[in-house]
Amino acid sequence: MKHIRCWLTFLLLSLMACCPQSFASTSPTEAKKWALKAEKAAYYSGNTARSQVRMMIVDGQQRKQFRQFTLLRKNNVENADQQMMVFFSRPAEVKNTVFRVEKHAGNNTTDDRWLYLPALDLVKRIASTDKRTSFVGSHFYYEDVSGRNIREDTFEIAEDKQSEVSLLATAKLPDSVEFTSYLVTIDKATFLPVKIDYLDGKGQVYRRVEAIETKVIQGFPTVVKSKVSDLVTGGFTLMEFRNIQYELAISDDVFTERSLRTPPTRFLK
Amino acid sequence: MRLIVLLTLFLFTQWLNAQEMAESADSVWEEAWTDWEDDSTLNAFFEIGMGNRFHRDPALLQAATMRDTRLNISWQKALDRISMSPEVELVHDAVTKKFTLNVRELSASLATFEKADIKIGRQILTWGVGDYLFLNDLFPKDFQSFFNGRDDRYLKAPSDAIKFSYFHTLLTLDVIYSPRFEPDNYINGEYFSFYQPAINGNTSTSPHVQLPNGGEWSTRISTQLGRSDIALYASQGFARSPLSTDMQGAPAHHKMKSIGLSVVVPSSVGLLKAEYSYYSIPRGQALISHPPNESRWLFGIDTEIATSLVLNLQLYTEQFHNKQPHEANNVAVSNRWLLTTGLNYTTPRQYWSFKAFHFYSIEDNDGYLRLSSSYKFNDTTSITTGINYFYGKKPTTSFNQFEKASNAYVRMRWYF
Repeated sequence: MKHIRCWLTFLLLSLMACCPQSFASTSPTEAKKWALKAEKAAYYSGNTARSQVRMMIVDGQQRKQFRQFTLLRKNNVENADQQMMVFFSRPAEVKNTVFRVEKHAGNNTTDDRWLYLPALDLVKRIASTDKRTSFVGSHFYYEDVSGRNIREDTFEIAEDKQSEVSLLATAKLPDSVEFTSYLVTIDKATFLPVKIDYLDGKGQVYRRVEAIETKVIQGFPTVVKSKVSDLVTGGFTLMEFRNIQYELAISDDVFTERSLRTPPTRFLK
Repeated sequence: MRLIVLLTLFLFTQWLNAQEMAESADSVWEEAWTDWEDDSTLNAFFEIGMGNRFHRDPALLQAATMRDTRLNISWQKALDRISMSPEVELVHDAVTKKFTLNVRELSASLATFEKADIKIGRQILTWGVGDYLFLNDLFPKDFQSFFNGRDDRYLKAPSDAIKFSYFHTLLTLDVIYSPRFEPDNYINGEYFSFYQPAINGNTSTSPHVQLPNGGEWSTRISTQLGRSDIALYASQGFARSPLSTDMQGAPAHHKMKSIGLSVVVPSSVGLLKAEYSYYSIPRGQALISHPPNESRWLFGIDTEIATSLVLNLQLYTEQFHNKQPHEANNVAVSNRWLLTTGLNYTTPRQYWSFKAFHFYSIEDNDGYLRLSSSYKFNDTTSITTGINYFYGKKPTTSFNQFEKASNAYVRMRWYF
C-alpha cells in the first residue's frame, strides 16, 4: 500500500511537470492576472493619450453613418480612475460638441458625464446609469470605449496556446448585463485583447469585438483598427485610430469646462 | 405647393445621397483624413419648415404657424490664442412676410491670459440646470420659436456681450456685460394671440414697448465639490418681458436684480438637481405698477429608466413676496406651481429619436404638451415632425390662453 501511494504521488508530480498550463488553467488567480494585463494594455497605456478616431457604422440594412472625433485621456496615478474628453467633428450635426467623462473604476460607481452643446453654449450634465448603451450610435458601447472594470467579472482560463490565451468571463451581477458570458482572447506578446465573443444564454456568440490591426507606438502596443459586429442583425462598426500620441504633458485643468468651450488645440493635432 | 417642393427636394436629395453612397461606400474608408488638415471649416444647412394651427383663431387671420425657409452658415477658425465662430442665417418667414439676415453668433474668443478667456461679440448665453425652465438664466429667449416648433436651439436668442471667464483650480468665474438690452421674443401676436385682461379675450395686437437704456451684468461662480456641480449666480439688468406699466400707462421693462444658486448631484437613481433664484425690484423706478419681488425654486431628477430612455421630472414654483394690499404699485400676480415631465428616447443607431415634454400648472389645471419625432435618413438629411398642444379649462390661464395656438409642424434639414 505504501508503494502504491509513492507511485501515485510520483505519477501526479510527473503529470504536473509535463502539463503545467492545464493545471494552471484551473487557477482563477492566473486568469485574473491575464485580465489585469489586458486591461492595462487596452485602456491604461501611458499616463496620457491622444488619438484621432473615425467610425463607419453599418446597420443591418447596410446603411452607413460616419463619426469623427479626437479623444484625450489621462489616468489618475493614485487609482484606476480616468478622465476623458471627446471632441466631435463629424457629422456636421454634432460638430464642436464635446463629451467629457470622469471614469470611476470603483464598483457600483457610475461615471460622471457632461455634454457641451455649442449651439446653446451650454454644459449639460448627463444621467449615465448604463455603460452598455451605444456610444454615439455605433455598435461600440460606452463601456467598450472607457473600459469595463474587470472587478465586475470572474475569470477562468478557457484555452492556453503558445501565442494566445482565452479567458471565459462571467459577470458577478448577471442582471446588470445582457450577456451570459464572454470569451476574451489575449495576445501573449502584447497583452492586447484581440477578440471578445459575447455569448447569450444558449451559448451562441451574438456580438464580437475584434482588434483588426495593432501597432507599437512609443513602445506601447496599440489597437489602431477595431471592429464590433452585431452577429444577429449583421450590422457592424469599424473604428480606426490615427495620430496617436502618449505621455503628452496634459495637466488636470485641461479636463474642465474651459476645454469644452475652447478645445485645447495644442493637444488635438 | 410648399409640400410639393418639399417632397421634390427630399426625393432629389435621396437620389443624390444614394449616388454618393454607391460611388464612395467602399472607397471612403481608404480616403485620406483630409478633414483634419484644415484649421477652419465651413458648415451649412438648409431647412424648410411648415406648421398649422389645429383650430381657427378669431384674433388671427392666418392658419399658418410656421412657414420657414432657412439657410444657416457657420464657420470656425481657431488659431493659437484666438478663435472665431460666426453663424448667420438667411431666413424667409412667410408667416410674418419677412426676409431677414439673422446673426446668431459673431464673436471672437481670446485666450488672453493663462487662466482667463474673453469672448466678445454676438453670442448665445446659457446657464442654469432647468429643462425649459429658467431661474438664473435671464438671457434673451425666443418663445415664439419655442411654441411654433422650430429647433430647440432657437429658444435661446443671441445677444451682444463681453464674457470674461477666469479658471481657477477650485472654481470658474464668469462675468458677462451686455451693453444693450435685448428683450425676449415673447408672444406678441405675430404668430399667436395672447390673453389681454382689458378686453377679457385674446388679441394679436401688441403695443409698442419702449426698450430701456443701459447695460446688464450677469455673474456666475461654478465649482465641482466631490462629484456635484455647484454654482452661484447674480445679475443686474431689466426684466425680459414688459410686465410693468410706466408713467404713460404703457408696458415697460422694469429694472431688476437677481441672486441664486444651483446644485447637480449624481446618485444611484439618476441626476438630482435643484436651483433657486430671488428677483428683487429696486424701488424708485418711474412706474405705475410692477410685479413684486419673487423667489423661484426648482427640484428635478434625470434618470435613465431603460436603455436609451431618459425620464426627466421637475417641480417648479414661483413665490411672490410683498403682495400686501398697501403695495398699490404691485401687479396682481399669484404663486405658481408647475410639474414637468420629459421623456427622451433614441434608437441604438440614432436614426430615430422621440421627445415628449409636458408642462402642468397645478393651480390653473392647464398645461402644454410638446411631442416631436426626428428621423435621420443619413448623416446629412433629417425630418422632424411634432405637435405643440395647449389645454385647460379657463381661457385666461397661462397655458390655456394659447389653446388656439396648438399646432402641428414638419421640418426637413439638409447639411452640406
